[in-house]
Amino acid sequence: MRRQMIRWNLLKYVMIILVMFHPLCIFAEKTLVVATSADPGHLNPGITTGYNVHVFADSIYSGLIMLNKDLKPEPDLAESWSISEDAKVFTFNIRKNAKWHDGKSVTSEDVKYTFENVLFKYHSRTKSGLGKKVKRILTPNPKKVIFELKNSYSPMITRLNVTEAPILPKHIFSSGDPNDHPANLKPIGSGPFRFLEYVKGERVILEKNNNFYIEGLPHFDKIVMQIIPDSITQLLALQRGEVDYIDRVPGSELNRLNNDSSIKLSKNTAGPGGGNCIVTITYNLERDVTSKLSVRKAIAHAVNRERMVKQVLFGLGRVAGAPINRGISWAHSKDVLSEYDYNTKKAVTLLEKEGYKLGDNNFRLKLDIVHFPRFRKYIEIMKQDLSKAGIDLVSRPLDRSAAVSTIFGKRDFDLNLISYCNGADPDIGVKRMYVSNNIGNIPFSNGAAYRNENIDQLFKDAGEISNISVRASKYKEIQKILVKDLPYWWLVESQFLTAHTSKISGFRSWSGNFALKAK
Amino acid sequence: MGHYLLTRISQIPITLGIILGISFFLIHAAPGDPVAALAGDFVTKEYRDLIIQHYGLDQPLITQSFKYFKNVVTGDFGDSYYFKAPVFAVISTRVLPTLLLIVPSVVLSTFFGIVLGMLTVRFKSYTIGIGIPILATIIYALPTFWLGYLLILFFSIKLNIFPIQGMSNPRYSLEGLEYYIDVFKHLALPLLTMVLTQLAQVVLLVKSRLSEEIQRPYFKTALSKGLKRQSAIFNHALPNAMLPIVTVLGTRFGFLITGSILTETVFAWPGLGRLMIIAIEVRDYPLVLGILFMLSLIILILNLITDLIYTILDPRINFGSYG
Repeated sequence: MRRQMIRWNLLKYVMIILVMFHPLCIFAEKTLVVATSADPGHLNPGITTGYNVHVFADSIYSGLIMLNKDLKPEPDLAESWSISEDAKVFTFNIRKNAKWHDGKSVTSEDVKYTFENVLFKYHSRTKSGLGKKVKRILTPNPKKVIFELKNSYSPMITRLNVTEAPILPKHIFSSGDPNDHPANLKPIGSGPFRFLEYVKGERVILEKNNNFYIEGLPHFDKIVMQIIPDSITQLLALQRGEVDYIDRVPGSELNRLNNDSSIKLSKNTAGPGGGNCIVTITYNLERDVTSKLSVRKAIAHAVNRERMVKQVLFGLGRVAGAPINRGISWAHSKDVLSEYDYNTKKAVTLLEKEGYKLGDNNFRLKLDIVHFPRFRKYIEIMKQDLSKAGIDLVSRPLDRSAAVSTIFGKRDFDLNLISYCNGADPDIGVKRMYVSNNIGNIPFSNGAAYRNENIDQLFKDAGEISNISVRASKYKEIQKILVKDLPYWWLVESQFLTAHTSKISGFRSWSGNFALKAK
Repeated sequence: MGHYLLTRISQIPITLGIILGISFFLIHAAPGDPVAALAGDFVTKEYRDLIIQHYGLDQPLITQSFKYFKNVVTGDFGDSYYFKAPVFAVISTRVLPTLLLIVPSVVLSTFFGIVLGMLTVRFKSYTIGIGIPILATIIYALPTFWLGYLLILFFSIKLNIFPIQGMSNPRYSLEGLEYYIDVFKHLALPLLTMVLTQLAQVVLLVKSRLSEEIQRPYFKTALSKGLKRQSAIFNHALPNAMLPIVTVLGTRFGFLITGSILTETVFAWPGLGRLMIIAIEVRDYPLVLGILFMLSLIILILNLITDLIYTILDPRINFGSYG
């Protein structure tokens, strides 16, 4: 009996040793599996602002700076920087140990080339935001780059992270058109992860950059980004442990996941490709009915926005408090929309006064609304709410390309519903909706065709001032005017929900470069 | 026979040309253009003009179509806007996963459909005769994605047998036999979904055809000469019922390829259907046309194969008359 026990124990130890020295165990890599809905197409973050590319490529490339959770700048490729008193000259010192994945050193020439030849041509947000502001880019030595601006522009610094301004290698891309360059499919960056493989429709595999300039990072040996188009499938795969991280979870799953201790959730107002978004109704100011202020006010009163937060976002967001998102706290005008409370009676009175009497069919007015199919739940709520005020809302769901050409090209709509992302600074994602030179066939710009010289001037001034409190006062003035003129109606601020296994922590889920510190 | 085959094969390029021609004008007639998808969520006018010019979309449609078809004749289908690679390089990796899903699902659903259909006729019992068709119809009526979720919940979450998504395990790169076993495991649930959704059609068809056949005098003769009901159905009624079953099979391929889109989406299976959705969404004209071309080619070939199976099943069909 005893002998048998010993033999058993011996066997156990032998087995444990065998298991420990099994090749899989010795060389076990730390692999992070990420689920994402998009097939990237290509991996050049410099030629698009699209989420589908940035969610993959922002881990391969780096920006001069990165933004922390409060969207404040921290060192990335640039280890330090200085801004002149008048916010016209920005000097960056590039890390001495920053290297491209092919071993070459990252230099100021790369930065200059990227801005002048790629970002100012193809990255539409940076092109329109910085392109005309930068006078010249100087490279006094390989590790120092100086931006000289035409006018003061303090928000510049927040526009230099990897999502807004990824730095590309000049020695690779200067050999051809960046739009069709072979390196778009075999990227060489300077970020925490190197590109390994892109299997179209299936996955992108990245491996650890062992020469990364921030010591000790990243922690994972490999990231596998698995392309799973269906969000429910993504969640089931997370529950079964097939994937570790999901970057966008529908709000409807919030309750179910809250009860699962193996899964951790985090709410963010930003994510790769944009942030601080407000779901917004655009009034077509060139149409007879919607050009009337009282009609626009009536619609604002008639829509129950609380209900949208509850039934569409499942609590994952807030009723919009101002034209600028709360996420940009210094510029946000608190409670400036409170005069437009949810009140059907007020809406009816406004419409009656304007002469819209109730017809035989119980409606006084018929309006159409163009929207992406994924916003249909907002439209259902609006339809019900507006019908109480006697407005017959006709839904016109169109796929993305068709909606863009109908709204901004043909301008064939009374109302439309779009989620406008404000970004890190009002100059990035707010201004575009209101300034008059953005009227025309420019997707996701001034769709209302709103013209106000005062507003144009205020936005121009606010962009040039460096003092943050003076800037804030300009934006508050802007919001006051916008609330009075009501070219749009700001419904709800949506949040992004990311979910990951509780075994891993340290995700920077607000950033494109989300896996940098994960372990 | 050889002559017939030659005629049929020579018709394929003509059919493909007509399909491609109609599709070209249809896809360009759809509102929208690829600009918004390529640029992201923010587009400037200059960028727009740049892209439109870059892809020659500012030229009249007729000029564009001449250019396109001139290239197609030389075998060049252009580059995909979205994937920035030649169209067929993008498509080629997706054909096999789609076929892997469709061909076995047709074979399996046909086999099990015939077996179950025979059972409903063989046993006069109420439970089997009515039960099987009703069950098959209920499954047929379930939305594909919902059926997919049910199978995932049962087989993956509860029993933990099969993986949920993808075509291979993302955590380990396997090789050789292990890799094929892994792919097979990943194939199980999407394939099961496809088989179940098709099963009802075959079962009901077999049942109705067989019920007719067993009323015929030859069936009674077979029974009266002492054959068991089972072997009379299998040896006499079934061969006579097969022809319409194969006909329906042939026409099913077209529906199947479009029907597989939902299955591919739920299980993140990297097939052609999903690629087509992306291509249409972003108005990637060359890619849409390339996929349509490839799908049409597959359907035409599969139809040709079904037609050839006729000859084996029914020697009365004489292909000579076609020539």
